[in-house]
Amino acid sequence: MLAYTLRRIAQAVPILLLVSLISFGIMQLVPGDPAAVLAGPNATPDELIKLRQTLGLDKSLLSQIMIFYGNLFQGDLGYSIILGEPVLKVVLERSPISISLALYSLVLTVILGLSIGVIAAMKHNRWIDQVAMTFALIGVSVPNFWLGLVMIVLFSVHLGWLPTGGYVPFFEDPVGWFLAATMPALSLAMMQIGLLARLTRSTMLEVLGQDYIRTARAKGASEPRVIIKHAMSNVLIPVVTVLGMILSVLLSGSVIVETIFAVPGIGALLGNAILGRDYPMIQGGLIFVAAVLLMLNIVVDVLYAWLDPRVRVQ
Amino acid sequence: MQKEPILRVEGLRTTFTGDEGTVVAVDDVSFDVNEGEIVGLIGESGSGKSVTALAIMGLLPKSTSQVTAERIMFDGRNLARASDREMRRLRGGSIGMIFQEPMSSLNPVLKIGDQLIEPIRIHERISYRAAFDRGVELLTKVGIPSPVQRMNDYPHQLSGGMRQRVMIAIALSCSPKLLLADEPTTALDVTIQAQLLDLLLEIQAETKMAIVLITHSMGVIAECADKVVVMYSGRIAEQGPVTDIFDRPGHPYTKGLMQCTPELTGNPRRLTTIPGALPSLSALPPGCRFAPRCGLAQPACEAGRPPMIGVGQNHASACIRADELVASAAQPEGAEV
Repeated sequence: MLAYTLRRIAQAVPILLLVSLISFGIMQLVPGDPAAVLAGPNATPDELIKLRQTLGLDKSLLSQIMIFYGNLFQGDLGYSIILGEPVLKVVLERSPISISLALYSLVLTVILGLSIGVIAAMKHNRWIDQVAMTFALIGVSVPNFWLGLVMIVLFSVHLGWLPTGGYVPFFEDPVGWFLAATMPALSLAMMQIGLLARLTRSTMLEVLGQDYIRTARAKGASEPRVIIKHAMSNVLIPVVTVLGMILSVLLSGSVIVETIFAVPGIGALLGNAILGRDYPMIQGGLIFVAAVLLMLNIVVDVLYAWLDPRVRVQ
Repeated sequence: MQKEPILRVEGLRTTFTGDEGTVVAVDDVSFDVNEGEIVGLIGESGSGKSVTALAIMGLLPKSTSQVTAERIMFDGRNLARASDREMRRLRGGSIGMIFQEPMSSLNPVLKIGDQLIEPIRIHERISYRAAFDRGVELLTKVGIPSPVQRMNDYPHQLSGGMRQRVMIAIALSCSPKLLLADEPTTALDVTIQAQLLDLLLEIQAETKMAIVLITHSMGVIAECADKVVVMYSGRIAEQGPVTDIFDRPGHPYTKGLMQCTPELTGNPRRLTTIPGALPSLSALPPGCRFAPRCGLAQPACEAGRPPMIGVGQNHASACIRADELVASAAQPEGAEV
């Protein structure tokens, strides 16, 4: 198990190097002179030269790469042009907001998606099943920005139950965090809940038809025991596999939702960086998000091996 | 006066409802299993053997199947009227069951030990430690080497034969009075088959439990069973003591089954087959269900369901020509019926 974990971590290193190389390439891929693009049409030649020096664009490609990686390995992701602050500092400030939102979404996804799927499978072809699957279909089909706006109109404007947006740090005011984060988290999670409910239902139906479930019943196991101990342990295997993907979507797909709900997370940060052509910010943010996603995927893979003894052998 | 049988099935009927309507998979099946007796339930695939066993266990899905019976008496209780709770208490406790497919009958994500001691923990108030020790004992009993290590293994680490031994250990874990063995050796190599049958017989001799052995092999029946119930298309074709059935088969189907079994002794002969196939459950012939495939069929066979005719002590056949068949069997080989 430990060897497996270490192997997965080792496999992440080349991926991270590749991502950083792509991120480095962004600056090179900008058509024409990035400094000219950044400085705008009214910049003087002096300003351009200065900007090229700040960005390191006056050096050869090889030395640019060397400097880039040299800084990267020291944890230096460069300076944001718009904010004038180190990229790493900004990213570290903003990412807990997005990560807490993504985790809240994940919790909603797992709890609602799994339970809807399991209940639908247990009441296969009955009205509860139909209702659950209709709900899942709606969840999959409704765009999250639309859902977010409708929720704001309903719960904030008309009912006044929840704030329209913003962010309250969890450790300062947990209740405030909960109120502010619920709508963004739910609109982020809705599609994943639908997907997970459908996956859980079909997997559960398949598992319930397996011989080992019959064996469990032949032992005199009660129905809750059959479902929880024998069926769920097998249903969770494919569920955990997609959990990694769901997390990536929740974390990286938050740009729109963060914008709608005015959440100052990393999604909104990168969105603004792209609009403002803040290349160092885009590069640094990209590497950071990739590193976080890789880490989460390693956690998911280890969890997968822990759940399925057959994986550990390979 | 003979003791009450441990299992008495009377008028068992099982139907399945699907997209194409309702079919009767088991139709009016009755048989007895005495204490310490091995009863062989034999028939082709689809003849209703497994369904009979699953119906007795109450393991058929309630949403698609309906089980009715006049009585299913087990150990003084009528299983046909038992509640779900009572049935759960019996399953894995007084009635053990082994299935055909050892490769898929064990849960792939749970340790052998956990699966083995589960019925013990369900049915008896006993500590984990004590249950674990009993698990090790059981594995030793079914001939699994280094049982303590095996307790911590997962099913994929064991061969098919080993897994079936584990299944036997699970079924035996609460010392059942009745074991339903649904083709326990069909999916295994011939050499392993013989080992496992020997193991079952050995354990049976020791524990004196009753076994219903479902099989489609006359050879297995000859080796193990005291009594035979021959099923065809959901009904009983013939039943009786094993020697009577082999010496004086009272049903053309039983005779046909025996002729399809190769013999290792005596003159080699070309194996015969029974022409045709089992009738579809949704299009059953009106009279005797074997009549369309039977070389001895007469117009009367199609008139109605043939009654069970007694042709010996505890020996009965559902063939209107049963007496003729039994009489002819007493004559030398090759005589015309």
